[in-house]
Amino acid sequence: MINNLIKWLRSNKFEAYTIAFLLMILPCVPLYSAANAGQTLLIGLLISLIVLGNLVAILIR
Amino acid sequence: MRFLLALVPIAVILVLMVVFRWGAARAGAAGFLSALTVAVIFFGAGAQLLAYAQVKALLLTVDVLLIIWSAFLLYRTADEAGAISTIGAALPHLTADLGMQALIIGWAFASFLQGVGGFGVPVAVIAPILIGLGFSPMAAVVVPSVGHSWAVTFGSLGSSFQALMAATGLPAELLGPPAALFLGAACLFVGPMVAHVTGSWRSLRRLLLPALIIGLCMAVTQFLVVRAGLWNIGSFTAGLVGLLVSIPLARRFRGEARDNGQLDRRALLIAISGYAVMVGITLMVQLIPPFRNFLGQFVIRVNFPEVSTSLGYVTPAGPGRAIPLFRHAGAILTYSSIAAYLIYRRAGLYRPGAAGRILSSTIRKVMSSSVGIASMVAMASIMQHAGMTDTLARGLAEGMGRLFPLVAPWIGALGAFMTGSNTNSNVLFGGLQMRTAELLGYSVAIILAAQTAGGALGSVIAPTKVVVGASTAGMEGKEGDVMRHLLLYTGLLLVVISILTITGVWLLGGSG
Repeated sequence: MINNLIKWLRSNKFEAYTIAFLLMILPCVPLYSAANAGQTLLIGLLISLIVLGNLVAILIR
Repeated sequence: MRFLLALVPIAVILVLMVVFRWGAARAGAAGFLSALTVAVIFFGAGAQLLAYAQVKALLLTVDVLLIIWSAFLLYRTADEAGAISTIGAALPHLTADLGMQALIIGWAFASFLQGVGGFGVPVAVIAPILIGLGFSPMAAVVVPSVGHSWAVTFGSLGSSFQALMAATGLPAELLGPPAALFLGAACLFVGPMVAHVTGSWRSLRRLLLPALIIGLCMAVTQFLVVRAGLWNIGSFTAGLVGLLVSIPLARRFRGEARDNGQLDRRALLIAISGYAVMVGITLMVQLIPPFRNFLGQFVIRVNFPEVSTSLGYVTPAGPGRAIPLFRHAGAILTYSSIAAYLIYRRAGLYRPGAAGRILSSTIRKVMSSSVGIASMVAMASIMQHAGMTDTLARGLAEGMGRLFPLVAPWIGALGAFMTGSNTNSNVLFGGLQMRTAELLGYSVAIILAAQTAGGALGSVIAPTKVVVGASTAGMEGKEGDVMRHLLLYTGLLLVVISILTITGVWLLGGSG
């Protein structure tokens, strides 16, 4: 399954870059409210999404 | 030890891009992940600190990407109408002298294109034109690569300079004039270098006078325009002035007559009008206060509290990067793109479906570079908040001492070499250079001018740009040869900037 995902990312570069970009950008909006409220768990979850976006970017060749 | 740990994200990017030839988007993401890991494990960055660093990074990313996206939109609007090729095709009518053509097309026109487009556009557009005019493929790549290098910082409608301001939080009035001065000095050397590429020393001696005249006009124009606060059209106006000055000079260096076909003056005028509109709108926004204030009413501004690491490094409270959405350089470019589209459409220059093609090609082109910028800005923000940038700056200040001004432009060049972009280099090293200059008591404006000038000149030898140039000139597989040719000219230009930097800090000391 992971192999298929990597294959898809590499053969659909534009879509993969778009997904990576959105994952890097979109979580930042709720991140501000989560940081103000001190919700550590939610911050961890949102930063995980940003990390996922960066992992997607690494997988695109 | 802490210095080496702080260096890890930058080393990761450098090794991945240079040794493993990864693109900026992949390497930037790897750099981000390593910065995050080092910040959490070794520098005591907590969840809240990381969250605020990430939100600040979002503001900086939007600030830079607004310009990059809209600059490419304007370029595609003109290119789809055939305006770029019309302007390029008109130039050989002026002279058949190959050296003079190189100065006009490979230097002045390349600078103009860098002013409006950037992102490798000058080399990609000009290399095939030069080959068509009879230049060797190597000269066709090297001439525009060296020719546009001095125009990178204030090119792409100022995106690299915007990134420098965003990364350091310093205003254009402080950073602009010294940066324009350094790049203007480089411009004076670029012209003779372009002449040297086309025909060695004999060509250089013959074309030295026109090269100096054109160079002086472009350098002075850029300096004055930047000093007037119009930094986003610095390279554009300089390139335009360079082209205008070249016309009477070209008549003195006509060379052997060649059949270049008929010059369509009306088509040329329409092609240029798309960019004339941009200058008009920029001037209106900058020089008419009521209009400027009206557009500046809606500002995105976010306040941040003080945060600190568990090791005690404190980032003070304050606002993040303010974005005046409708007066932003990116917004001005979008208005200009719409106006240019209407002009070209009225002139019947578009085929059906042009608007769709312009938008889709713009989005496709900018997406991968957007990923690279987003990850590198986030990496730089985390490094700053975790105290990693400060650790690097202190290490550099202790290690380099009084030699630091000599090295500053080479750091900028290194950043551009490994990331493929002056913008990314400024994001990556802007804060580091500023902090090091503060610690050593040198003029921050001079050191940051060295950073961005080094980044501009170094960007042309970046593997990503060299690949673009080589592929458009049919030199795939010979990128190493192209890079070797470019290294000589870029190295000399960086030495010039190093000398100017050390002179600047001696003259100014710690002021500014």
